[in-house]
Amino acid sequence: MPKIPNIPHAFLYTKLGKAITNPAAIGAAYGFAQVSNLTKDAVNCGYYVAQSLNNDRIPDDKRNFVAGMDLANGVLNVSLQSIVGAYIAKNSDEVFKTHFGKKYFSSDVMQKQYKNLVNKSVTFEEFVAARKAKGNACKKGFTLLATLIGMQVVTKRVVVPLLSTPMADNIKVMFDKMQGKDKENEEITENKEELQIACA
Amino acid sequence: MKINKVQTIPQQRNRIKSSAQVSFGAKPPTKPATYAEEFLKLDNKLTKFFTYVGEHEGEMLNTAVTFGGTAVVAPLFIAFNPLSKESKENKVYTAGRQPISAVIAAAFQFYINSKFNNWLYKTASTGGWGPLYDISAEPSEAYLKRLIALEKPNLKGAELLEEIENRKVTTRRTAIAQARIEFGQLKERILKDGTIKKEMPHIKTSQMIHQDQLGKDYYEAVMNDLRTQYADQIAGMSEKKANKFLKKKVSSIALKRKAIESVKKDVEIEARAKWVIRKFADNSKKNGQSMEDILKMLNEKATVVQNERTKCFYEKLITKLTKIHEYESANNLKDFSSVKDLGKSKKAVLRNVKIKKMVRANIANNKVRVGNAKNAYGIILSLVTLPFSCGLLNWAYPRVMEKVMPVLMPWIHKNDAVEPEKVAMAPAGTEIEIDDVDDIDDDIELDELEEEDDA
Repeated sequence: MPKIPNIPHAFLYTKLGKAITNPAAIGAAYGFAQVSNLTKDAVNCGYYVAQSLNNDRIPDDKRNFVAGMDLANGVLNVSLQSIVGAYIAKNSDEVFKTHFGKKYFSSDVMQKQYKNLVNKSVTFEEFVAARKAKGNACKKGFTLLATLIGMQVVTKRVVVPLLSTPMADNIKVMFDKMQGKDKENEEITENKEELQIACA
Repeated sequence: MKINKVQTIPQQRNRIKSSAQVSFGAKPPTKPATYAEEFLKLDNKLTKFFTYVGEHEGEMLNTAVTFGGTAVVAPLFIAFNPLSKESKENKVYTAGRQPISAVIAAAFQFYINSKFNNWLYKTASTGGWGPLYDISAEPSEAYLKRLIALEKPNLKGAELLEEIENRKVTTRRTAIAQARIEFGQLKERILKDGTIKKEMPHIKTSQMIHQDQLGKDYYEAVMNDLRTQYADQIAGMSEKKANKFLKKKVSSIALKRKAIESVKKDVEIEARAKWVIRKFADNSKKNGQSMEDILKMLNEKATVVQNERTKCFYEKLITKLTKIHEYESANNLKDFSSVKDLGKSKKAVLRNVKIKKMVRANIANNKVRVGNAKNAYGIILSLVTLPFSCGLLNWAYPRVMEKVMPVLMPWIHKNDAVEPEKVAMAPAGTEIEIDDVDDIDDDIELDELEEEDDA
């Protein structure tokens, strides 16, 4: 049996693979979260719109609105999430410092905690270093959660549906025009006028 | 039993005399067994939760938050959106798509990402991803848990955590020992003129840097240097504006240079401190000087020293000696008995310290690389599963909504089962007067009307 090349392994040693995984270049976990969500939303949008428009199982009168909703969601998701994600990622460090940093990881608190330790098998400096590392991991988790909830829950599921539902109305009209459904409606109204003239 | 009774009475008396609060049936507070347990207890639930989230970043976390938002929050804001003019039925039909897509997407992504992550970390822990992604010197916790489960299946909780830590320390020490052997051998180097030179392999300082800490540990130092360099330009600016201006000037090269300078200084101080401790150990055997006397002498000297570098050296020396002293006192060991022999000369000790720092930095950098690879592949896998989850959604959505809509909005589908009412017809031959053209049904063709006129 021929040897299957280990493509994931090989990719990690290419120039691009090394650049993506470079520990010095990428420092923020929330950078990955943003790229992941925005790429998925953009690709999702394309798939869902194409499939909704061609899904005969969805009733005629509902199909274009469903597809319009998908397109409106996609456009608003990518644009609003990138703005909100960047804003939260920039400002969450300050929020963490004021609400959690001073309460749990300040130097006064660490001195008290070290004083109250029963097993002092590390020096004060090592204890402070370990607590600081814990504080950094905590800050990273807080920022990550704030960015994810801000993007995925508040922006994507609250703000975007509120704005996309009326936007979908307009896109539905556009789809109707593209498919000629608006012309069927116009023919019926034209027939009415002719009847009025003939029977007068 | 008798002896116990006699022994407890004085204690009880003392307890009643000294404390105003006597609690009956309360358990005495248990002393934490280890420093590790005490350290874990310092965090409350909230900080533990945030730390857990920070340590488990990646596609799985993304998927979990996305699922919550898509399945629960989104349908409500679509179905009850006051800004849309669409009918209620259309809105509910569209909103129903969200929970169905959330369940399908989450199922696909959780399954595939968890399988891939396990495979990635298992292979990296055994060195299967090559030198840049080799974390066999400090394997992942999941891999170690699986190994321990095979050998000692009954370990749980704090014991399991301790076993994991011990194994990590063992693998790290093995890696350092192997590196000492590899870098302790003379290697041949071919010079430009063709001659072969035998020398010890050179250890670069850049190999000792933790690269993910570059932007954190040395950022302030670089900013301070830039503040003096651009002092004229930032003279009139506010602190915020000045920081913004200087932030743009911070380059990765400046950070790396600062890191190299700092690591070189740290390595030299540590090597010197270890050499001096070795000398103290040898001398203490001859002249019987105790660790406490030496610490006292060093503390007195440290207060007098003016030079910055010498001060750092004394601080390092005192910290290391204190740590050894505390460890030996806690375990009832003789003074200096736990001090390791790192080399017969200052140069050998320096080399050993460099090797240790290099191995540790390699482990840290490789861990970050594997984490980044996990995130990058997580995105690719989620995109690869999209066609399948979209296809399944396309198939499932209308079918599920056909069943669900009558349940959610029963008044709309109420008349489907009812027979259409029979309309009373006029007897044949009756003339029907048409007053208004609008009364004519739109479906009737003009030709039919003309035929009636002719008849």
